[in-house]
Amino acid sequence: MSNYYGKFYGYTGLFPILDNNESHNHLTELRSLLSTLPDSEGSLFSRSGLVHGARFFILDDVVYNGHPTPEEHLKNAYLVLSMTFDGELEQLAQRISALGESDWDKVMAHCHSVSDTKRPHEVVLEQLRKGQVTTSFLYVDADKNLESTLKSLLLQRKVADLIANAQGASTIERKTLVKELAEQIKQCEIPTPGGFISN
Amino acid sequence: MIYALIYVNFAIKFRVSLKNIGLIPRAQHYIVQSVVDPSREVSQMSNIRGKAYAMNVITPQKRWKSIILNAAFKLLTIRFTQKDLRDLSFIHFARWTIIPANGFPKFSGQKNIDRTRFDYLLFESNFNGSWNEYVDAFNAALAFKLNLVWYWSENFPGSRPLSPFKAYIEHNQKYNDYYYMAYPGSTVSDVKNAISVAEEFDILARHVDKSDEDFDDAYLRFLGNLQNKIGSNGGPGPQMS
Repeated sequence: MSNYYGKFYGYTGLFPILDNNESHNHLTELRSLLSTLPDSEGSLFSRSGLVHGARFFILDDVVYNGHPTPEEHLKNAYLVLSMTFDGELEQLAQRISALGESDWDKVMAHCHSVSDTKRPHEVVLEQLRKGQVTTSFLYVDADKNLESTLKSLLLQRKVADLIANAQGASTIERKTLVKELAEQIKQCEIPTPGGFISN
Repeated sequence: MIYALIYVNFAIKFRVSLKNIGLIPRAQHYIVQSVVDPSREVSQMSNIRGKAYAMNVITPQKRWKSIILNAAFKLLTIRFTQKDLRDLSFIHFARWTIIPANGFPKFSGQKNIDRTRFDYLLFESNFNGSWNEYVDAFNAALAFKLNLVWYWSENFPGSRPLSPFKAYIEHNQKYNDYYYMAYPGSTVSDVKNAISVAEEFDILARHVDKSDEDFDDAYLRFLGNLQNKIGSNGGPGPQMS
């Protein structure tokens, strides 16, 4: 299926935004909400531990490209969600439901949604499935899952330190440095997704 | 199939040439002025997160052309056809989604359902560098593939010359309202290098319990293999536009 590239899943979903009423201008409120939604460590997608990249944008209308193409317009505005993540949609829905439900609910409160008579993660999954449009072609320039990628990025800077410290050292000292670093990497916490990893 | 693709590429170049000398009238580009939304200033900045830029472009295409484009995408799933994309090494992920004319999702409670005249090709990309660098690089290295994908979109001017192509992309671009990146301070090359470092370190760590001579050889190989892969990264990077 085109939604997949190796072990990566490319999801694209369109969620029709609720019509405005006397008390709510859903389009403006949604834009405002998205502009303040946390996008770094601890954010909705960061907490899932699976998402490499995600975006929301509002498709308020299609673009007219001029004569001779006839002009047309959408009847609904859509919230478009695009994500690239590890694993399957069901697993992501469970993580969003368990770890990011309040942020997810705030965003989806401005969109048409599915019945909420089911359990929370089933609601999230059904919402994702109902809004999904099948990807025609996905390309990912990566090989490892998120956890391995973040661990590798952390190890990279520690290896640079090791090489600096090992200059002029004896073989035994170098062996000790390598052993210590290997042990350190086994024990250390994986950097939180979404943040800048500083020196 | 190959001959068909070569024909398409020639057709675009020839058609563009006829436009340039006035034999085929240029499409009247109609710039839609959006009502200024105060939050849009913030939204435009949401295209960038650290060293990553997220771009969305949506273009209309006639429904029968989607069949041909889907066939082209099937061809592009063959890995060796992606070599030039990999060699560019600045695209984290990219995808194309054809939204069929009757394929806009429908939820209960919606008063109006969208059934459009055209299919819509939605292109989404995460890459490193600025918008201009990205479009320039694509244009320079992947002109044929750009034509192969966007030839079917209405009023596509061709990937060369560059200026009309950039104008077309900009005209059809939708800005993000929110953008998340799991490793915003690392480029595609940084990630690839980090993974190499991890693999090489694993190999080195396995030599710790071997003889000093074996370890020294392994350590020299380790240094040689990593000399251009341990540059620092992880910070926000330069300001981009």
